[in-house]
Amino acid sequence: MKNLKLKAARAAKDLSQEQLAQLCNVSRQTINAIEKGDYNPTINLCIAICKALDRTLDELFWNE
Amino acid sequence: MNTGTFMVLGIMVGVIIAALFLSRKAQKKECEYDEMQLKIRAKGYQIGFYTALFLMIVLILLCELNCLTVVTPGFAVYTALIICVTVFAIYCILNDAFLAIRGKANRYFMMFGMVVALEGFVFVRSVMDGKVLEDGKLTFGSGAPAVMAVCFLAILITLAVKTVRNRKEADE
Repeated sequence: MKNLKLKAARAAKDLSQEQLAQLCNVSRQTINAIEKGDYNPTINLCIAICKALDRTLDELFWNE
Repeated sequence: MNTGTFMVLGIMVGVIIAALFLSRKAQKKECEYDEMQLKIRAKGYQIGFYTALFLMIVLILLCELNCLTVVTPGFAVYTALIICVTVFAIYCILNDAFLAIRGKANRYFMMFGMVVALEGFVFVRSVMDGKVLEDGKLTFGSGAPAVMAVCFLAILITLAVKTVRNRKEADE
């Protein structure tokens, strides 16, 4: 399932996938895979992404 | 021991030295691959291992049935191992786990291009010298460079296609 919340949060911060990847110390392809829903990140990476985007885990990764 | 045995020993020593060098370098650079890449690489090693297993079974069958007439068993094993490495590399490239987090493809293009050119040159020279076949069998000296050239060419093409795709994807 696509993670549109992450994509929207990244766009709101005006960051490219490459820039977010650099902030989280991962490859751009990994960010792309998470956004497309092809990869399920570990909690450590989720936290790193949340910190980079100033969001909470619930806001980015919780699905109702 | 003949020349082929010395060549195999030389290649093995070279591979061991390269592995030691790379492992030291890898230890120095922390977090070279991210978690997704490490997961994909682990799967790649598994696929490479099963490829080796499959090819070895096929080789044993061919040897037992006396169907291995064109190449020596040693050369066939060498080819199987190179194919395993190629399968691993191509799997990693296609799944974005070949280059490290900040790895640049240009360095690999140059390196692989040089390997293809040099190995291709050695093969062409042995063809021109008429040293390709010996007693009706492909010699290790000419066959090994051909196998290397073909495999590295396959890796090079895959890397080029993937790099172009990734650039397009990044632009979108």
